[in-house]
Amino acid sequence: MEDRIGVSKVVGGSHMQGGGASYVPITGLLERVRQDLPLGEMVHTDTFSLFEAMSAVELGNVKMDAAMSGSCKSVEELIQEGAAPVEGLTPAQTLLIMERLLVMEASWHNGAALAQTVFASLYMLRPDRLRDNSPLLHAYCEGVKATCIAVRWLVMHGAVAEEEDINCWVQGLPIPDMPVPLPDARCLPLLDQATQSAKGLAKGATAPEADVYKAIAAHLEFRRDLHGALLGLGLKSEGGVVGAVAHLTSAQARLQQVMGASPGLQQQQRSIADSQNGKDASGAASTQKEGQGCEAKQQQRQQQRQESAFDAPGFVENVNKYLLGPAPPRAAVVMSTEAAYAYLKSMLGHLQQATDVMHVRGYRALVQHIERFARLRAGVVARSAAHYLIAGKAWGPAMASATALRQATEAEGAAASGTPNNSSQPTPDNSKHRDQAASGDKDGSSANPAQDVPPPPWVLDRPIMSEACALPEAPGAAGPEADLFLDQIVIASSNWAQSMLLNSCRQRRRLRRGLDDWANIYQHALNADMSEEFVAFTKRAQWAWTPPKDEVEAMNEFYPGPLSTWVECQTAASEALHLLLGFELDLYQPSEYAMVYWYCSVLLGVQRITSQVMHSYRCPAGGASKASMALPAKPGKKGNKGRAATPPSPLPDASTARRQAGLIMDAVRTELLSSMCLGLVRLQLALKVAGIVPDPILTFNSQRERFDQRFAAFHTPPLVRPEPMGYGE
Amino acid sequence: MGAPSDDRQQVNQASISYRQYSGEQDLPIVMHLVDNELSEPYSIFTYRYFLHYWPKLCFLAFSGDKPVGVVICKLDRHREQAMRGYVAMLVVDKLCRGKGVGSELVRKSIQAMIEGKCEEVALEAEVTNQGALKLYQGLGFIRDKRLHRYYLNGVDAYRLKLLLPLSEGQESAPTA
Repeated sequence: MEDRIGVSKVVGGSHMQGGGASYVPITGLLERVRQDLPLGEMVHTDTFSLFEAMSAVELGNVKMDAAMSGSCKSVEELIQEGAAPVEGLTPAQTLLIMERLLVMEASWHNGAALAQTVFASLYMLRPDRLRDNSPLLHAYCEGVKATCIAVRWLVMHGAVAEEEDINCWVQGLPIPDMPVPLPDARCLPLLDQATQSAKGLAKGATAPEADVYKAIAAHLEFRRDLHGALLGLGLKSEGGVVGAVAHLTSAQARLQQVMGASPGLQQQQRSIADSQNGKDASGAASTQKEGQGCEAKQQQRQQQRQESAFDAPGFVENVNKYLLGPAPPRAAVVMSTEAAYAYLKSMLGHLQQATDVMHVRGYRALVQHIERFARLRAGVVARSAAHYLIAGKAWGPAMASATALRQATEAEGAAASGTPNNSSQPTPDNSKHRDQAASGDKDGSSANPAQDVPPPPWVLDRPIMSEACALPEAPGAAGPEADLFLDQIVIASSNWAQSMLLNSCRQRRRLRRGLDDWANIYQHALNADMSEEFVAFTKRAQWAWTPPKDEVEAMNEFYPGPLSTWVECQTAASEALHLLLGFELDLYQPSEYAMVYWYCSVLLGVQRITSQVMHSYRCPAGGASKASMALPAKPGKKGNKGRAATPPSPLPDASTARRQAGLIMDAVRTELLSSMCLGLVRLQLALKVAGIVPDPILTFNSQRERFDQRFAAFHTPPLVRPEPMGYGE
Repeated sequence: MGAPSDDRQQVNQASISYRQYSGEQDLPIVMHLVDNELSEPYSIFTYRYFLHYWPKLCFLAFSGDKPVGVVICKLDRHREQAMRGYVAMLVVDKLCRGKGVGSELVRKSIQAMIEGKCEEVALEAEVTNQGALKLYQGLGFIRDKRLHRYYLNGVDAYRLKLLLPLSEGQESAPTA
């Protein structure tokens, strides 16, 4: 091979200059090298891994290079050619563009890139062009941009969005990238003004134009309500959530109005009617032909939908392809109008359910809220909101962001003139909260700095976890081991809550990985159970638990301490949920159902037993009564024996009674579920005996390996409780 | 490699022959088969990564002189723990599907991996690819995980795994 000094000789020394860099053609050099290399020899390093191989992109290959598809015209060229007219836009065209932006926004929420959806609109890329000639559309575009910023903020601080859920890439778009910009209320007055104009135009026009203006007004109001709701949620305060609820209720009503006047839905209904008429005219198609063409028809419909998504004024597919980065292009699937509205409707409903957290008091209620929300299988925006609202100090950035948003909102509220919100029709009670949510407290009641505002009572933090384990919140009252245990379970429970609000595929995997947390915490729980300070605390608080007499007793037999029992219960619950999620994700074959249900019944049995054990200990809720926290009296003066501390009388307060009732309910529920699982095991065995669900014929392994593979995570050290079950059992 | 000379030619199991990847001269055959059938784009670097390091885990199927199938795999220590085999690509020409060609290619590759002290085999398959799922499940693979929107076309994937029984030597070897 030529050495590097000889490069210019080989290639002929023709240099090109461009952009400050010097380019040298090396085709000739590569050709000489190729001739020198024998077949099979390659130039490579030992560190060339699969990651490097899969990351390599062949420039110019349409399958791999996102910039190779579509038009090469710039935004300015397209505008000059008239692709996005601003003068002479009819009301119907304005309505169509607004609706198309809504559909694009829904598509972005469901995994497509912003650059290929919302910002495939030339109006969104250059909204200032609309200011004088199309003020209604201008206001709407500014509102869409503000909402996209708010959603992106919420998603990034909600900490449950993964790359497969939503694409937050904004390079080259008119949205600031880093630091992530705070959402603000600046678009709200613009939207209010535009709504008033639209309503005025509707009054002055006749049908059908009047109906179009009414639909435009509904779009603007919906946008205002959606943005207001996101701002309210971002404040992460009781007032903010109440305001968000009002906005969400209003947004749901506006969405119905928008759907009622939707040009896209009307077009779809016409297409369905036309195709049905066409089918009737030609007679029934042959069954075989229909079956074979079904998949092709689906692809054709998707292709048609993709094409029609960009046939509104100003939309150009691939206008931003150069922004997509040096990576193979991900298919940008634009939703149908019907699917987009269905998604928006469910998103608003799920956000409403996320706000139910404001009624949560106590760990058990919080767990039920999280489990109930997780079962909804909501989209990433709603899940992000749900997690954002409950995330505690363990998610420092989320807390800091809420503080920053409250400060910014309060600053805006102080600067605002206090114009009342007349554009919508809120109920008198809700309007105050909505305006507070949108622009901060106007009466200056939030005089304290935002960082002094305590987090809402439902946030997953030390207070709620101390109540969960009946431990005192104040450090030191139950000893340093118990304090350390409490710190650790705040982290573990925070991780669990985050796992529950991921997409279901990730949720299952994260629950499995979270078992390492629980295994670690089990050791902390054992240490705390056996510590002198904790034992003394339980005596003072009159727990019905007999601690081990000495270390020998504690070491020689399994002694269910209260804290380790609680951890075992949580671990069993995580394991059972991990297994049950496998059914939802369609991971099991029918021949595996029996062993999965069997293991579930075992884990539910563990939950039942541990709940009963915790119930028998009769721990006062939170352990926080002053009497129970009082240390023993000091020894008396000379001549007097020290007066022994008088233990407080065990008052069955409401919190303790609720806790005890909750434990009994958990025990009953898990017993019921365990019985159901055993019944399903028997059913599966019967089906097997009947030959309906035969065992698979295994070439390379046996049922033992399949069992080990399914439940390997439960056997991995240092996890010791619940006791792992082996194939032999 | 172009289209089959006779689209209506009957292909039966007995006429299929199998051999291992023999070197760079087979690379165009492999790339042609994969590029034609699979939706995911692979660069030359990806092919070379697998075929340079694990040529013995790549098998080709021929119907006469016509290449009709290929399997490409690798085998290495996964996260410093188990020796894991990975089926990177499996392709069978449309005309030869449903005749056990894919199963035989995978069987051969797993057998080669077992000879290389493999402890488990993994791969990903589209959740909608019923043919592939049936093939692997028929060989004993289980669906270990679901990967949301794994592929560029937005489709989910299953991670399939096959845990192999430990050999006597592996059982008695000290754990890391």
